Amino acid sequence: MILAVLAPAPGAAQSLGLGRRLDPPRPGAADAEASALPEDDGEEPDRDADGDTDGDWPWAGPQIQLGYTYWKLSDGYGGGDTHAASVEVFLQWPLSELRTGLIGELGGRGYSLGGDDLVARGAIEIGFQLTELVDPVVPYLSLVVSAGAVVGERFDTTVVQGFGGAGLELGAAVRLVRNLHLSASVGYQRLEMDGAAFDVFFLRLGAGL
Amino acid sequence: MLRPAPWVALLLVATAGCAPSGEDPRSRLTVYAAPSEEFRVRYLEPPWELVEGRGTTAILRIPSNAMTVGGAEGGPPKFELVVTVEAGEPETQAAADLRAARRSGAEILSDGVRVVSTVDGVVGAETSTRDFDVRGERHARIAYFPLDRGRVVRMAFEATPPLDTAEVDAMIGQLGVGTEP
Repeated sequence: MILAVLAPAPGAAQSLGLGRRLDPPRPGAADAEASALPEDDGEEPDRDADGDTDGDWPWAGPQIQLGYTYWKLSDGYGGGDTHAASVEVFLQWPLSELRTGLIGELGGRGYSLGGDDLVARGAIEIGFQLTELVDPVVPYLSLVVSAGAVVGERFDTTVVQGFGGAGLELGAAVRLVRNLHLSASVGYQRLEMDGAAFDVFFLRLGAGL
Repeated sequence: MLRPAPWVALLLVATAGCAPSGEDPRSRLTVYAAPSEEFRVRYLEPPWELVEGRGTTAILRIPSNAMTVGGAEGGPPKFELVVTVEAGEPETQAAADLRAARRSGAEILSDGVRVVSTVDGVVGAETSTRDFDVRGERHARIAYFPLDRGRVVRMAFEATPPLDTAEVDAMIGQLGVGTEP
């Protein structure tokens, strides 16, 4: 149902967001569209195995993702495993290789000496993605800048600790049909919290449009 | 014009690069060290706060909710820790505490005097009790560690919540006794 609503109308140019609409015109595309419009008989154009129309531009990459993230923000006593739900919204540009996104996460972090902590993280992703080379796979490498907070009980008292840092993320998205895709990535970030530094490795799995 | 994102990232990474590793629990603890190196008490701040640090006495506390939210003055804090140096041996001091607790009618939670140790390998003795008074339910946990020449470091917790917890175990374990190795 959702896919049907979000899918472009038959015969219409497939929109992939701002970047897609700002793609430079293909040579002869204007002529082709001008000649095609009056003769539009309402029939659905030919589609290939992936469901997109023949002659489409390569996939411009994801626009929104929901996912799961695992990382470990050590508590110093062997714990710190963090499981979070994430959402990422991508901003698209005329240059489709430019990958920019805003990430929001909310999850739980194990604390060895007490109950679990609540973790919230926001991040900005800026990177490079290959949208044409191995279509429908879009590999990418990004710089990720993170900031967030850990809320937990310490000695029966609620304590909030902020953290921040930056690192790299390497991953790929695979388009299944139209914009529906799966994504997986690994990352490393150096975070600072409460005067201590943490080497943090991330695993992110997602799906989206 | 500088683009902010890369500079912010570089600043964060550079700052984190200088900080001690978070894998070490001591990296996030504040330290009060007695001037003559009798002990070093390490605590998480917040919620702990140093009320008094003078010579061989350190007093720390976590304010009660009434103090924090209601601004109430006086009354017992949620947690209080007093670290001092006194004469004696760990086992005899702990046994004396146990006898005193029994006389006062307190409930003995530690099943007698029990062995306790720090992460540096210093072995001591402790007791854990629970009592009821006009302030309500109060727990006490007192640990002694050998120092030198018949002296001990006394670490006395008193709190409304239970004290036989992993957090208190860890805080006792992080006590430094004598000259730092």
